[in-house]
Amino acid sequence: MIFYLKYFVIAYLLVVIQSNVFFKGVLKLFIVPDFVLVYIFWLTMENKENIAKYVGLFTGIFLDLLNPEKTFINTFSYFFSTLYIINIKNKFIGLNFTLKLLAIVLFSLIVSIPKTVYSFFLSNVSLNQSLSLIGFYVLYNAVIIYFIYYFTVFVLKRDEI
Amino acid sequence: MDNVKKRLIKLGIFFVSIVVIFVFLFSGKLKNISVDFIGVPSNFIYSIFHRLEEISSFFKDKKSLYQENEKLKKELEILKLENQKVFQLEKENEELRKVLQFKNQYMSAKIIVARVIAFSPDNWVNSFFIDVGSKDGVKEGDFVVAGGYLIGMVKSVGLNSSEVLSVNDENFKITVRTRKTGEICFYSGLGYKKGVLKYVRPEQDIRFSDIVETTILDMNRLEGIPVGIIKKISTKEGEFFKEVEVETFYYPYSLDYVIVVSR
Repeated sequence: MIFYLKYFVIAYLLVVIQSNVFFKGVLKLFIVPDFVLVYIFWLTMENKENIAKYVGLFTGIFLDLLNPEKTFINTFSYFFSTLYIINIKNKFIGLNFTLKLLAIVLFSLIVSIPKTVYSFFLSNVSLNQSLSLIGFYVLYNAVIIYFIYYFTVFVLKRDEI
Repeated sequence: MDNVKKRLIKLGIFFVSIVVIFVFLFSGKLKNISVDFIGVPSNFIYSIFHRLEEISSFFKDKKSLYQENEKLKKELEILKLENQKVFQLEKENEELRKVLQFKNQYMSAKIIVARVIAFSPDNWVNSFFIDVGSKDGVKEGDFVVAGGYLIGMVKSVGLNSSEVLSVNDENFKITVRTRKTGEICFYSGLGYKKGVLKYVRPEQDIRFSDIVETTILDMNRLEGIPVGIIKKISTKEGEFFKEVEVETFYYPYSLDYVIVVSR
């Protein structure tokens, strides 16, 4: 039980880090990188699919509870995209760096598009600014995955398949 | 037959879990508790950052002073440290003066000074967390003001922290009035530093550069707090209502102290 609990605690801490004033107050970032999404992706790549599913569900529920409005969109998009990414992963024997990048791009798009469409239906606000938000959001996640890849291959000297 | 039974049980479990998740998501109490889950660690991290900032500024000063003349070293160090302290105090003084000015202006209202400790982890939501909660008397629906302007409304209240929906968020909706002409309109957030007045009829007197402010019509809240300035008025062909764009004063990158105006 404690062994599995640590994955949820890490997810919780990542949400806390994501909401820190450091990103907006010090770095003045418009978009905050989605560490939780990258973490779920990493769990899937490390063959911890079941844990990834539950962490995805837990994070989605937690983010929805933190949303000022009563909503279910995070639970839906995180859980659905986790299932989708597990499905993609099972189609390949091993993912190389390019495939990993493509997978995280797809993962980010699956998470962000339902959210954008949902907020559009709620408020009828133009999609123009949301497009740039999606673009940079995907880019951020791809950059983080690149850093993780760089760290595991060049710093920890772990070989990729 | 057994297979059908198993499938039915699985289907039952699936529907029960969906119902449980929905009960979780739509219960107000859990929402308020979750605010504290972010608020408490964020407050802790914020105080550590603050302390680190103080220590780093101290060491920076020390390093630069080593390059100075040995005789002036001690004196300079003290002076520079004092100078920095004065600068910090001046900044804080300015912020508190604004708070006081606001307090004098709205004597009748109950005012709580709060600090911004975190922002929404979701990029699609424009909200932030403050370090005061129900223990300090904050209630759902209270206005939040910074620099004399309305920047948000309290949405969820935890014990020690609260979540504030900013005026830029698409879900922020209040009744407002224009300062010069007194026209009552419906305000909604639109995006970064932007809001919009909805359902403005053609005969309504809406003027460019007029200030949009809160009105008493909006659930007995404090009236006269500026929300934004009208920046664009246009009419679309074939549409009955006018399009009115408002520039708001919510700037998340320099938020420190805010005021909660309690009802």
